[in-house]
Amino acid sequence: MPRIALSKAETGMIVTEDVKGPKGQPLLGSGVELNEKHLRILKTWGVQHITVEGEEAEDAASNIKLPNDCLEQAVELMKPVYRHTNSKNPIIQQLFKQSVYHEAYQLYSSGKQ
Amino acid sequence: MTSPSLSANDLAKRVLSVASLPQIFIKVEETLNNPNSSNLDLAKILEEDPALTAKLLKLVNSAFYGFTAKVEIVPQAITVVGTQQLRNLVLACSVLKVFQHLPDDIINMESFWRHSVACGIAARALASLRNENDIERFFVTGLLHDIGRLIMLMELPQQMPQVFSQAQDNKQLLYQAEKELIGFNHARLGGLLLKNWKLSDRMVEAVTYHHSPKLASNFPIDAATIHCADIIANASRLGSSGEQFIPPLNEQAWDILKLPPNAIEHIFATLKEQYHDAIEFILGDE
Repeated sequence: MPRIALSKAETGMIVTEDVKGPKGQPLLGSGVELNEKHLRILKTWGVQHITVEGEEAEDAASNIKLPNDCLEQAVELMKPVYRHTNSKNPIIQQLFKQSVYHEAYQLYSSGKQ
Repeated sequence: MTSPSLSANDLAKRVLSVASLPQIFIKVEETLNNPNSSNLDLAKILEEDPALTAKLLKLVNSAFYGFTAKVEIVPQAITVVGTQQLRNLVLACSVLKVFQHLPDDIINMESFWRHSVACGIAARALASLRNENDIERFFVTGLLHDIGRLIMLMELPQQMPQVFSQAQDNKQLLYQAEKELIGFNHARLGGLLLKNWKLSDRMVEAVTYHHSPKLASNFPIDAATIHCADIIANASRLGSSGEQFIPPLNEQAWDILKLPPNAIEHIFATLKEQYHDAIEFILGDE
């Protein structure tokens, strides 16, 4: 069950975990199908994430295609920074991927100016 | 001036005399601990400080919270955000004031606070993913996690340049160089300062053990959250507390958080969304 940011929630989605407000007060129960009013209430209460029915979303961070030279340069920049981490750990691998992408994006946007 | 055998405790105590928390935070604490006080009493105290009030309202109305209706007055902010959360935000502002006059020569202070804010947002987002109550507590703990390093810079001006150059030359983690040359690291010192400030045991333990989360016996989740948030903040390269490397991840700490597999991607997205507003809250002009 994916846990998603409230900004990504849409009407018709089924909540699969009770939703609590900032002070722990119950707002919605598990099993509820979201409608416009629910979304408004959750937003008003500052809820940030909810758990809904469905498949885990694919990696959305790679929706902008970055040039290869920026990505390669970012990999070279980031490698030494990771020298104290275990490169076989899947979490570190995900982090590496995200930080390379982040760095490549910086390189790409500074190069464009 | 500084004897090499100075203990972490002596240092934290010495700092207490020059770095006390501002009166406004102490008043807020007193009001919250008094069962006869109301939200209006709290609002009155906050409104005595117009700069702080303006900052709080700006943050409450930003993407950091994402409320739809505009929050215009303090009592309303207290109702929607909650008293404990507001207390934590006042604490964040207060601590920043204590350290605002540190020189930039060894660590760029703006960069230091940028890293701290990134860690705070990551910690808050991890807590939100876990469906924790009072996620603001995690923001403030993240914000304060490296505060011990500021005390080291303040109180050990002769030793700290050596610590930095040893870490640089030996490609060593800064907290290990601190331990070797000073006898303890910034995490332990920061924890002692928070303890002397009488902040919660949760916060003290999370800060003390953010590089050794398996030693946190009472609040393992808090310590694991700050440990992971610090690593994510370092990986995001948003600011730096002086550390040139990403600290090693304690796999057990990650595991006890029981996070979904796409958590890392999610936290990076949250950082992107909230970083700007949080930075403005923390570093913006009064």
